[in-house]
Amino acid sequence: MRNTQIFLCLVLLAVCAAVTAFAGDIKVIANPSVGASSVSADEIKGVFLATKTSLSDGSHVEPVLEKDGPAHEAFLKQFIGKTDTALETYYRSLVFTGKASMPKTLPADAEMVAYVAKTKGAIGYVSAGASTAGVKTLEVK
Amino acid sequence: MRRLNITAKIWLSVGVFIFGYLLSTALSQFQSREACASLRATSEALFPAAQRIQEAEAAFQRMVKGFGDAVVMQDASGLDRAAEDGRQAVAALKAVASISGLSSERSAETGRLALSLDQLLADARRIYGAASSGTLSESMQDEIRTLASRMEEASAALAKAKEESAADLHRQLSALETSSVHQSSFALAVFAITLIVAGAIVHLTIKRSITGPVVRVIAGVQEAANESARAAAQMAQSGAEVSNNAQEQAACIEETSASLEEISATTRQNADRAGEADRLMQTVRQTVERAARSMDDLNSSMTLISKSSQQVAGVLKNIDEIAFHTNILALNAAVEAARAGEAGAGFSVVADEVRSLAHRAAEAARNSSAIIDQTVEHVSKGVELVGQAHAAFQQVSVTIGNGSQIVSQIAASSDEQARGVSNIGQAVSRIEQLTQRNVANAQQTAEGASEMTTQVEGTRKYLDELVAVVGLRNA
Repeated sequence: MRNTQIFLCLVLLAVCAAVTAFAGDIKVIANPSVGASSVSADEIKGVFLATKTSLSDGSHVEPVLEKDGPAHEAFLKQFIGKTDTALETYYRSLVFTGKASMPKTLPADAEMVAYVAKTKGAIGYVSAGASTAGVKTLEVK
Repeated sequence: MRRLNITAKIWLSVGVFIFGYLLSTALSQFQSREACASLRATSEALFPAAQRIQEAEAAFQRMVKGFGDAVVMQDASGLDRAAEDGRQAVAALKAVASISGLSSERSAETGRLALSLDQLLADARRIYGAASSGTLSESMQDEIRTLASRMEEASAALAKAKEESAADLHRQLSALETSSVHQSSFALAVFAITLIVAGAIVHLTIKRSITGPVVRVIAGVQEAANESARAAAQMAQSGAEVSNNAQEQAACIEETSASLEEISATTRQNADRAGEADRLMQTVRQTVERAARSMDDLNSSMTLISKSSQQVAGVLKNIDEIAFHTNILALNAAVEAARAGEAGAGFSVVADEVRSLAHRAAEAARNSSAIIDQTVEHVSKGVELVGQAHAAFQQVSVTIGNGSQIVSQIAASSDEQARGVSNIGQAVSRIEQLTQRNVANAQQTAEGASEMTTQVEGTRKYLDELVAVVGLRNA
């Protein structure tokens, strides 16, 4: 019993370490019209699961997703906690009940940056190494 | 009401009570029949309607879920099944619309809902059919959104219909319950009113027919008792007064009796004295008679004396004549003696003596004759007086006779008086006895009055008890 608890604690520590390790792989970007300069993980999850449409400072935001790719995988894993299929099912159920529309989906980092840069209130993510010209990088708290 | 006796009145009250009980029972029966009819309507219309609408809603929810699954999971195989659920919902709604016991408004509403649901089902089958295979274009998303809002509306309408039907059912049931409660309350009220009316009648009956008369009787008896007490007091007082008066009277009567005794004695004495007087009178009369007879004798004696006197007068005349003759003879002798000279001298002295004697005899005879004449005169006067005395004695005798008669009458009267007084004495002694008896009676009356007072007090106590039993103090 005691051994099991110790094991669980160790696993938890390992997971935390892994998350910390991934955090550096992507960065969250937003259209410069978004007032906030930092955003919490919960806010990100809320925005991308369409349960929030604005950030804590009151600026309206609209989530933009990448179609696939390592940044997308990492983002889903780090913030959303759903697989890509599950997320699509989730969004379809929202569409079916009329609560939300399917989010904009872009094929890669470059399109993402370009779209976010030109779309007011857009919030998205790119690989840590991608160029973020014309967009605002939000600090994840 | 007033003519009935108490038993009849009490039975009347009980009758009112029974009538009220029967009335309330009949009312409950009537109302429970109404309630049964209402319950039948509920069980034949409202309940199945509610059930059907519930089924319809359930089928609709299954349909929505089926479509949702198909769209979300992109699995077209569930579409038919969902459409089947939708048709079931429509059929259930149509069945509800055709139930005869529902209100026309409710039927029409359900019919409209069935039609719109049918329309919605057709659209959904088409749009979700397209959406369940492949990605969702913007226009498709718009259509899905519109459909979702329609679904929402339909769902809301169904929920509303369900709620309404449930509310109908509930309303009906609660109306039933309310009416049942009302009914029982009403029956209870009727029963209570009957009870109150019967109670009031019983109360009034008792008050009017039992308590009232009893109270009146009590009041009357109390008044009579008071009157009796007053009368008894008066009686005691007057009894005592009568007793005192009677005692006084007895004393007076005793005095009277004593006086009467005295009077009786005096009267008897009077009678005795009258008798004595009578006897004395008789004696006096006899004496007077004797005196009268003596007077007669005296009269005859006087007559005899008168006669004797006359005879004596005759004798005296003879003596006078003798004296005269003697004188003459003496004279003759003197003459003869004188002639005879001295021889005759002695003789002449004798003759003188004889002559003086003759003179003296004649004088004595004349004196005696005068005396005798006087005597005769006196005797005749005495005879006259004796006659007068005799007449007076006669008058006295008559007067004495009258007096004796009067005295006899007085004696008789006195006797009668004595008898009367004795009678009065007897009457007085009888009166005395009666007075003594009156005194005793008066004392008895006074005792009776005091006994009566005691009885009246007892009566009052009983009356108080009766008043307490009746429970009225104001009587």
